[in-house]
Amino acid sequence: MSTGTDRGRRASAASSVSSVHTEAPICIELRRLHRYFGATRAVHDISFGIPRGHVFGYIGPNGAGKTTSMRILATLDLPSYGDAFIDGFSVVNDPEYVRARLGFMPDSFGSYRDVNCREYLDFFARAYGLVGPERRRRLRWVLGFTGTDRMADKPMRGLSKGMKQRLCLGRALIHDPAVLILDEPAAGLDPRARIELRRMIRELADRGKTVLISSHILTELAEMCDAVGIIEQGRLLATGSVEAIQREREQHREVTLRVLARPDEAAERLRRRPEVESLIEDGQLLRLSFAGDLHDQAGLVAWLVGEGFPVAEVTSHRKSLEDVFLQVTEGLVQ
Amino acid sequence: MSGVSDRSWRGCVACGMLVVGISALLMTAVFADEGEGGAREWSGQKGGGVSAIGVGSGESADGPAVQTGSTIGASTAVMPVGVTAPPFTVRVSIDSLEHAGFFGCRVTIVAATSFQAERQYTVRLTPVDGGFIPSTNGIVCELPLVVPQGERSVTIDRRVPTESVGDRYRVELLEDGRPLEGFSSEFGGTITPPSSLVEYLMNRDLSIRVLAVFDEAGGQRDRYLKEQRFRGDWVEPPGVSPSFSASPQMVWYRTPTPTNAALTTTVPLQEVRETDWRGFQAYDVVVMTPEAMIKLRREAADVGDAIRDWLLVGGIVVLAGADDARSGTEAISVGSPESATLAQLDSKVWSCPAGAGRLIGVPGAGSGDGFAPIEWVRARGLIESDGRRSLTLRRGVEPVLGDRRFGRWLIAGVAQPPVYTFIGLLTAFVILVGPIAYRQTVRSGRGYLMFAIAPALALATTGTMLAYGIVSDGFGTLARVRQITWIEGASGAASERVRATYFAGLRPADGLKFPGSAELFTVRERMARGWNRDGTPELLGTVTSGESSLTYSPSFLASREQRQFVFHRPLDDFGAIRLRAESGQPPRLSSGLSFPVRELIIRDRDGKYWRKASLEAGATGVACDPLEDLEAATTLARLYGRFRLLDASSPAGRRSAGRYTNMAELSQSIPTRLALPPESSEGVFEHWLVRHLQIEGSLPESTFVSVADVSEDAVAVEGAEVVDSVRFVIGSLP
Repeated sequence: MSTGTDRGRRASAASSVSSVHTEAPICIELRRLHRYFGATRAVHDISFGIPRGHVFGYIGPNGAGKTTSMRILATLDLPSYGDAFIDGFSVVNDPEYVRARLGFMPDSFGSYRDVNCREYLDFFARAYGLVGPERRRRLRWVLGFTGTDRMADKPMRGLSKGMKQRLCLGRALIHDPAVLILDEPAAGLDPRARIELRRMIRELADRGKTVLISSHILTELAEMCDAVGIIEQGRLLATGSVEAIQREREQHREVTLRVLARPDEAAERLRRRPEVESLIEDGQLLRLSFAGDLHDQAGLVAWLVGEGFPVAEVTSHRKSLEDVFLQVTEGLVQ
Repeated sequence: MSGVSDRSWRGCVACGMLVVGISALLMTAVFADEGEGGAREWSGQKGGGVSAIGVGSGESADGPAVQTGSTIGASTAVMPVGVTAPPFTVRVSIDSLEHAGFFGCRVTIVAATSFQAERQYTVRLTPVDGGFIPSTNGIVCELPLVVPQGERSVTIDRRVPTESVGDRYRVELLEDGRPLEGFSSEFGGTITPPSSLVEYLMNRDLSIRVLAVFDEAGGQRDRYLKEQRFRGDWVEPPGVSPSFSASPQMVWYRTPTPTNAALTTTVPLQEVRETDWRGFQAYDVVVMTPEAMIKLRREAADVGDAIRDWLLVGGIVVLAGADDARSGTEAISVGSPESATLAQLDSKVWSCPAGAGRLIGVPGAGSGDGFAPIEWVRARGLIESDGRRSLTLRRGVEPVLGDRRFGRWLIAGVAQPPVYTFIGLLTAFVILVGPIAYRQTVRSGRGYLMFAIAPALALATTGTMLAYGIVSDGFGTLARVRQITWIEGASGAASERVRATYFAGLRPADGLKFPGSAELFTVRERMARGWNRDGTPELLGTVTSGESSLTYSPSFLASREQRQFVFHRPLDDFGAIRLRAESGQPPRLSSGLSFPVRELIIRDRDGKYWRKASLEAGATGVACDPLEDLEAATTLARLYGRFRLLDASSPAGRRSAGRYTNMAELSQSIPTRLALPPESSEGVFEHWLVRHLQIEGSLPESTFVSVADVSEDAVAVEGAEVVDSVRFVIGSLP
């Protein structure tokens, strides 16, 4: 039964909700997370931590365990054992505190056809206990940030897919959480909407939010994520920045050189070097597969120039997130 | 009795007795007492001071001498005041703790001639306005005292609780519940606290308080502990002292704060007279040589037992000069050398669990001063990475501030409105007023009667709802208990944490009765927002500290409200569970416990899991079943999950979820500040459970976990109905 005192307390709590957390350096932490469904190991011994203000991409094939672990983080499921902490609070023991700090955007969400955007967000703001001017202030900010302010009074049935996604992101942001968990937020969006979404997520991270995002559009993740985790069959196969994973997994680089004079001779000399695994001549262009890091590559170019070959261009191919993903995963599905 | 302490104070109430102990640089409360009742300034700065631990006794010209070591101030009152040639005098001395806890209190009655008949007195200590903060946390303490016929003097030592800071008390002597004229006095003074309550609490928890005990007659290692170099090598890095510039409320946890300050109290072995484990709670680490420990246990067994009990309940004991775990564990008679691990591969510093506590050994270097400084640094590293180093993390409860964790262990379904019953009653009201009464009266042409019927029915419905609301929760007492018993297999000793929530339809007339050896705190639902020194002083109730029990008055359990208490206590000669390996066959279990356990899961020395559905008290040679690692992991997590601490089980829990910007997060922030895992905030006992059962899904080798029925002495209200409770019995194998 709600009493006047309780209402007052909630009001006071709500007024101070914004931007406060426990300052734990690791804002999202999964510790030995396991989730079994009978014999199926949906999540098996996953541990990692995400520092405050970072965007972490969670990638893996369908059925890898991404959504299961995200559901556990969002307190919608419990681990078989292991625990996860949001801003220092356990999803097992402190689900209410976790929810107060967490904004969750699921891959599919319910909408109410006849409710307009403002009413939709207002409903969730009230559900989070926001009251009075604080609620109105948050509502204005979210409508503005997500770009839905011009559609604020439009019924949801008239919204495009992109606008609905924005609205759902707004719903996750309405109580100003420290952590955002976004499950496939860019699914079904056109390129412009995806770029807008990417900009918003980066801006949120710059404001100190910690974001865990899963997506199948790996090029987008590569551009916005500080680090990624690659999961398959419930196991975390690799974690870290794309470059770090690449360094760990592969020391091979694809290098293209433009040699202006005597390219045949240069190719011949290069083939004799042990770190050059293969070489294709294409006029002045020499495309070679090279075993070594960036420093080794610089040494190779310096050697070639020292031998008297005029090297006009050097390009080296940086492996994309797709390359890394394909390299790390095996395409296995449980 | 005792007192543990170290502090610096000026002009403090002089007790005219021996104050023992020597120098200490201790970050502590510093009072500048302007005399009894005068204002005290509390600088909260690091300062030298007199340190002492323990209380000795003797006779002096004006009665029995009591020496106290006190963190705030040893205070003494002598009664009656201003009476010439009184029939008897009463001397009351207390050791006020610097922080909430149980302080020692000694009462001595001395008569000119023997008492002609048995007399029953009570000494009452009442906190005085302005002498305790927060002003809402005052507790009145009563100490019953029986003077047998024919005796001339009687002395009692008791420990009594305080959940505030300050030592200004009014002391009265009562007989048959009435104060005796003239037998009233005051001691202590008013205090001016620092601006922030949180700053004060964090100061305590972020620094490590070390008690170094040396034997005057000991060898060079004892001399090393006595000398300043010990601090230089390990304890107090130069220039490091906790300091806080943060304002109250929440800004404090954004201010970087040194967490490695350590504050030492150095005391000769002969001066340690503390015989109660609670007296050592003002310290985080006790350091002494194994030889001194053996000597202490031989010559002052009670004191040795107090240190051992404190260790078992969660303390850290460092044995300086214990070259190996075997000699170290033998010196203190707890712990298993087989479970010891080295701090680093290239180090000889070892540590092993000892009940809920931790035993650390620093080997001697064999030459020079007897120790290699680098080994002290390693030992310090072990301590800094251990949640036991913080009093709040050891206890898992913060009695002064209040605790958001209140909502984690509530009784479901009480103190809540019976919504569905109310809906039914209102529906009945509507039907009676509308379709029935209105229709009937209109048909009979007496519609005007509705002016009487409708209000009457409304009144009756309201009355029924009110009555139902009261009756539905009943008039008895419900208790939800979470008891964790931690057995130290090698010694058969144990320690225990009991967290119990009570709900009384009508508050019990006899109050709540807890074990006398317990360190008990109320868990407050509402967080203090500051020292509240200007608030209306509020006394929570009266605690009667008897010889074997602590009785909390009924006011601690108001009618129709959930109230929560947490206590820790050591348990002697508790028994153990043994696992005897047999070649080629499953091992056999035997139980030395006095109660049956269920759902027993054991991990043996080889890392294999075994289980037994139930094990009777005193059973021997019982076969057990093997358990695969994966199955063990899920079984352990299920066991924890069935009784997990869940902060969503009640409206109170839900309501508190929004209040995460206030100081409720002290408990959650300390682990962050100390770079400890967040789950360590619930105390040492709960940390072990959640870590091994839920997070890791594995037990350490040679340990077990099981559940049992809650013991009778864990329930403080006689006849209370125990609901949804659990007793975890965990521990090591002998």
